[in-house]
Amino acid sequence: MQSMRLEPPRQPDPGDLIADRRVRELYYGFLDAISGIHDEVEVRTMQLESRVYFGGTLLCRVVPYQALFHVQVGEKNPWEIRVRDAASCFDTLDGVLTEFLDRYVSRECGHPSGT
Amino acid sequence: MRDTHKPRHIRDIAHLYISGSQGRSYPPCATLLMAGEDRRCFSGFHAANLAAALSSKAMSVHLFERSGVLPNAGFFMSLPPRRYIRWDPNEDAAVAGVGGVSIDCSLKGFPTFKGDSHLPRVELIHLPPVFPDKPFQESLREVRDFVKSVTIFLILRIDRTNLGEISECVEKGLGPAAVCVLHLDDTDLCCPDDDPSAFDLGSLTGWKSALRDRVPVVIRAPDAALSRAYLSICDRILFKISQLRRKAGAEYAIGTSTATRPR
Repeated sequence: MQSMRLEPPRQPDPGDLIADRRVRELYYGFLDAISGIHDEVEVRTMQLESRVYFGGTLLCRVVPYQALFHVQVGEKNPWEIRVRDAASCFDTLDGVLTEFLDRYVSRECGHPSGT
Repeated sequence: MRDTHKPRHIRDIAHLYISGSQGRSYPPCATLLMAGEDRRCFSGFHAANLAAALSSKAMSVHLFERSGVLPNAGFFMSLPPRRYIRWDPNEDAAVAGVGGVSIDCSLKGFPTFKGDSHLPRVELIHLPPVFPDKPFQESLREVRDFVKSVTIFLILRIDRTNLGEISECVEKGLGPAAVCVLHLDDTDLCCPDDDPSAFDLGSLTGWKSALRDRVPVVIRAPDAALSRAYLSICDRILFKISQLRRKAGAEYAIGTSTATRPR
């Protein structure tokens, strides 16, 4: 007897929460850019947010709202930024890149973070 | 149609020309083209350092890199985000064209973007992404027409699985231009490559620890071992340029010629 294979329900995309098209495109572009910086960077989509991990540790959280998205960078002493436009999106990308390189160098070279 | 949707051309961005009958003298040019796909080697870091090293040897540099891979050379040359990120979600990759910035590596207060100095500059020019390959190839043709006889140095990551595909793409775009492959290798092995023109950056011990710095080590610490390693690679690149120019029967030789900028 042939068993019926049911498609798993589509996971709701948190990006759908953003009503503003430009901000939504920034959100997806931001996640695209972040996921491309290194092979070990992984974006996990949750119900209401996306989490970006590097080497198993949290690099940043991205929480979408109706007209903006909120990025929390870092784990222990996180800093936060609200992204509403391209300028703030680029600044946030810059911050995430800096954080990523800091962690990468710490891991690869054994130098303590922030030195 | 918004301005950002207009395709831009290299001639709109770059300010250095290798030919022309009038104008101020400019140093000879080198061209670096980055098309690597691999993200483990931070090719932008090496490109920024090589460009700065070439600049310190009185070479002006056109540094072409494809958009999209971060951190790119602009990041490692202290550019503000709006200058080094060439990504606009409202811009279709197929019509994005090129964008760029001119960086003066030789003056205090690095990086300086403006000025009409006759000192060597690095022109950082973003190309559309490698894939889809059509806009990339069109940009390469534009690169070829723009730089004319200047040697194209192709910087590729060592991900050999991808190398053939990108090489083919580059060949289609550049045609029979003189192409020299610069392999980036994040291993510590200086393995000889089948291609005698290949360079290997595997000997750059300790480069990873410099990744936090956003000023090229060649500018920040010119006497450091890492700087000397980059400068030594530049010597090899310059030698290669002179060889290829001789072979091509170019009229000028390294160190004696100048490029001129038309007014």
